[in-house]
Amino acid sequence: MEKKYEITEKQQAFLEDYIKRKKRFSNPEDLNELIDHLVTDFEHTGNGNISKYLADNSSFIFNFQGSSKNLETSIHWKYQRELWQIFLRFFYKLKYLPYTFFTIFCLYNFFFHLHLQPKTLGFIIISILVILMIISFVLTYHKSKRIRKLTSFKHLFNVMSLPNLTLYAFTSLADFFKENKLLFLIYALIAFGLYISGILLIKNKRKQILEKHKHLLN
Amino acid sequence: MGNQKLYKGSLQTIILKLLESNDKMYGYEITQKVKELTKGELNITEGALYPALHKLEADGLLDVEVAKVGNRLRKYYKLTENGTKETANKLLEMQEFLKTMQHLVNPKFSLE
Repeated sequence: MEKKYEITEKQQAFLEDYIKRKKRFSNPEDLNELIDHLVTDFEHTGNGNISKYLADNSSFIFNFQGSSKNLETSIHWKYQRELWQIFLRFFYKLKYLPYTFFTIFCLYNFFFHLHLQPKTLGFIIISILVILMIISFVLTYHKSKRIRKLTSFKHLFNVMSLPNLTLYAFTSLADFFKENKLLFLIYALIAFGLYISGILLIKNKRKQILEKHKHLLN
Repeated sequence: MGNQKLYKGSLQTIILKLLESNDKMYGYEITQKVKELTKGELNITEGALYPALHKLEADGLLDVEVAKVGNRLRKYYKLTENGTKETANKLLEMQEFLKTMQHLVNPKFSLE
């Protein structure tokens, strides 16, 4: 593709300012895509008059649909699927089974051999879960606003919706657990498993996203 | 220029096929490549192209790579593993469709 014209810095700044004033994007990637399309098209077909070019293409600019809606749903379910995959790995992958057995062993001793009061037991379990929740919150934060606005990064927060559900469910199940320690142990195992899986997923995805979008950090 | 409506349902297949043969491409490049390959017969509008690209990305068939070009960022699309498989399926579907159409519009030449 041969360029007919090279856009000047001033013209590009004008174009970017025009788009930012006329249209809001929740995902910075969509804004970049629109800018790149218009600049490339202007350089190939425009006659150097940026105002006229923008006026001619106003309908495309206004109707340009970002990827957000479809992509958000897709990313949400992708993360949820991956969360389950990591969680289930603890129960069938040879590499992870020692961790699972070790956790079961610790929980079993903790529940049945330490003879703790149900209230104390509940408090300790919930405290650990809250600490894991705080770790996940910290991991879903990034100082760069541009990174935070990315659909793939925003949805990292939602990864913990299922693990957090186990924490919220505790209040309604607390009385039941007082009478049934074995079920409480199973609950704790599932809750720990989901929280750890969520944190592993967030850590992994965060690394991938930052690597993929390192240009946004400059 | 041919009837653009006839191409409408094939847009995703066209994009997938182009990406299969070109590794990675950006939106504007796709529109120009289609124009070039069809000698101007098919003109993919931006209004149709980007929603199709975003849909394919959301479906996990395309992956995105961002690169700095001059003073701006360019979003490149490339096929994922699933996208490569889906391209083969879509092309097969397209061939079946063309064969069926051939049977319908020109039965004389499609006797097997």
